Amino acid sequence: MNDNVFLVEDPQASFIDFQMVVRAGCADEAGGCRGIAHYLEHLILAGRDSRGESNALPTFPGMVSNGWTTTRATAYTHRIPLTGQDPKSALERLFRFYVARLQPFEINKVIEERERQIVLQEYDWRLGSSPIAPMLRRIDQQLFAGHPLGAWPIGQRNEILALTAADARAFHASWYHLPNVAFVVRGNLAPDFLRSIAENALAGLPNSAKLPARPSAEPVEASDQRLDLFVREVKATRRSIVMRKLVRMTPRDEMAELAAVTVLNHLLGSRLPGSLHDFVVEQKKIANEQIAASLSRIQPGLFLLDLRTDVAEGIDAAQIEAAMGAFLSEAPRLAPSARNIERMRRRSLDAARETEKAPERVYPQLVQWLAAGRSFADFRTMPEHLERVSDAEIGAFYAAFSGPGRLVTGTVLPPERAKP
Amino acid sequence: MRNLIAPLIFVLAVLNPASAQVLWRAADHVTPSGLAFRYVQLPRGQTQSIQFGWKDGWAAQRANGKGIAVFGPALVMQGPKGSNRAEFVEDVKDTQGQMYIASTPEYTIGGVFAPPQKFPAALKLFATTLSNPAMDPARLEDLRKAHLAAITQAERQPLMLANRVGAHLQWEDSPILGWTKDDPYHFTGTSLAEIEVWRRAVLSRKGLVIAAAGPATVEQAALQIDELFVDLPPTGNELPAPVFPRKAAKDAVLIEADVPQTMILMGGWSSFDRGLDQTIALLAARALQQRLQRELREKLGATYAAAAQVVPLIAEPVIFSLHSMVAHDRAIEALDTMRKEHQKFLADGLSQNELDSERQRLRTEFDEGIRRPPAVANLLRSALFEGRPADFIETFPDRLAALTLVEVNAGVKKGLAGNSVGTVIVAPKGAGFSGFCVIKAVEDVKTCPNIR
Repeated sequence: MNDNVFLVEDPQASFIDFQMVVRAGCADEAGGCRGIAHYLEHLILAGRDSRGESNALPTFPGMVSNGWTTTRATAYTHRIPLTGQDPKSALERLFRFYVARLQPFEINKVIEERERQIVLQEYDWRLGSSPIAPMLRRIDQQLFAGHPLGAWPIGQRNEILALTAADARAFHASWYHLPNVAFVVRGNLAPDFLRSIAENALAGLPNSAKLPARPSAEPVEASDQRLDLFVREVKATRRSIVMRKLVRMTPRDEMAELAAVTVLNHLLGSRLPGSLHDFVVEQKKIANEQIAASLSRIQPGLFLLDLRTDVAEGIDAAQIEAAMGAFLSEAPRLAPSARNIERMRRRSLDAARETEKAPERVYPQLVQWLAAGRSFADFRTMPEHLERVSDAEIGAFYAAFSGPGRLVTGTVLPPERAKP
Repeated sequence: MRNLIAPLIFVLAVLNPASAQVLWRAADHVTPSGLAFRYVQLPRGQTQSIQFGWKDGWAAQRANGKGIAVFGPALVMQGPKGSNRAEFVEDVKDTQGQMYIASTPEYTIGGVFAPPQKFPAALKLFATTLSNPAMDPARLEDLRKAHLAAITQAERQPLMLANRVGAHLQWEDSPILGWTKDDPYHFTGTSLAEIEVWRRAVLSRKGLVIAAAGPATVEQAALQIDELFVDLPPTGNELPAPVFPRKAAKDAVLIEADVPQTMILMGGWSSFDRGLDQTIALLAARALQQRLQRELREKLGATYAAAAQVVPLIAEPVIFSLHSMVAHDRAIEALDTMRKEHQKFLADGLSQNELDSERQRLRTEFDEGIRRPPAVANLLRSALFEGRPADFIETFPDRLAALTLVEVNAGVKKGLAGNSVGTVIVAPKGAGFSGFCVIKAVEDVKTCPNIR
């Protein structure tokens, strides 16, 4: 049975928030990520017509619309003020639009070309002036060894120029089916009210679909290796170092892994013993404050540890890089104390509980949760999993930081500095 | 019939439904120690918040004032004397709250908020650092290095570069010109002694403006405010009204740079006054932004985004500007389009549809914002700075709803018609624009006619 409509009741909202989340992103493109999913995101929303024709996005006074694409999902988001607006009519029009978009739809040549140009401008706007983006991209390509989870959803410039409506239609035909989407709504609405509208709107859509195998779900087969990349970047005025490591552990239950990652991120982002900041600044006495560490879960048992710094003037970049490397190699002895783990566990729990009280925070969290392909049934169980994160689990992660894995280090240098 | 799973039903306990009216009332009070404050109790608020500030303009009148404005507050927030800085940072994080001090050309502002059960701890931490900060000279050097590196890198961003050139079109040669441009000399020489002078001059109970919001009773809030400021000195310096020498430049300047897109920035000082004028300015900017998006993005395909905005560098008057980063091969056409749309907007004003749409959007943002006590306290503080009555914020929806198209368009004409508009372009060499003073570095703009 397809269960795809979710409501976050918010009695204080004077608007409706509406998102359609398609569980397919650039990592699911056949033949590897070229930016097709993102290009399709643009095409879906293109062709605004205030007359509300079925092939155009309906407009409402004061409405805000946008879309976003990741490696795993594509989403379409709208906020509709309700002053002077009938919520039933507004929801019916939005659902009608997306029901039409979940079936083959017209993309004319003018829109095809225009949106290709706009995507190109978005690429230049987001990445063109960034001194570090090209290096980050190379790091991800090397780290993931060609796996699509290491690609960037916007694609490369030459790939964007080559995108066609046929590419978009093929991706659409593979993934834009009711069983593969979720509608998430937030507003001052009763569940039965929304249910009735959604059921009527979605009734005509097929309840099942044969989805292709997901390239994003293929295990990342990146061999244990260490790679160092250097680039002199004309746009850079300072040195930056990014170190990314794929860390493997024995896979466990998804919620347990996510809870551990949450607590670890509080630890890694802190200045407590066990954090990168403490190790570099306090223990190694290197006065370089712009330093950060974070951890994310990529697949069951596979995690990405990210360490990065902008090197302050007068600081030896090689010394900092060595310290960051030492953080990894010495991680087992740096594992935080039980007292600090408990402190971070409390902090994680407090944050989760504060979020639960606020529908405006629950809503985006739920959207991200569903976009990651996670089960709705698990959504509100995070606090109990946070309670159960053990000192031994944290210690196991710190042991894994120093263990085998694929490590790629990228150093960006301003043009006047030679490669060290 | 398709079955939907029971949707997540997230029900907050007995809340007032959404209403056209703001359901709270702010009022002015005095704490036991004699500090005046404006307060609104929000029984369902999830945080308790105090926002405060001084209308000082202290730093902006000094030759290296921005350094004082950046490093002074940052040093105060490093933690109190005698404390371990890392522990201070972690103790603040444990409160699930935030605290800050910052300086603008006209104000020094600060605030603290945290969930009610943790607010006492947050308050204590903030009070100790506010009244007795460590002010470590070694930290000043770290902050200086990091900031100088950041502003050097930022100048590679086309919009930042355009803004720095544009500052020469807005200001006479004065400290505020260097402030707006982030001139490095503002930061290289700033000393701890100068920062201490600022602290003694400004951070006192004299001239302190305070607003608060949250679930606490007004009596509890009064005690919290007294606790926060108990150790502030009673007086600081006399703070004369700051002077900001503006100029009305109509110049067109092009700075050559190796950029992936052409940056087009147009703007100038408006004649919008405070209060309702600035609401009209905001509605106007948003309506024009929608037009620019339609013309530049949807019709021309030249850009991903275009913006029109009200820029309150100083509270009054504000700058009204438009900008977009566009494809090089469509840049000349894009500039022409922006100029035409701007002129058309000045001539015709908003349509009724545009007013209705932007009014809705603004109202929605307001409604969403006033759910959060820190945002409410922030609005109350702004109203206090402007000398507005206690009910000024809660009656904003009524004023917004009452605006007619005739009033709005009269306001647009008053605010913009006849004002000078300068244009700054950042583009590669040989971009093909005519009628521009072409320069290669920001300081070269002084060689352009009419610009010192």
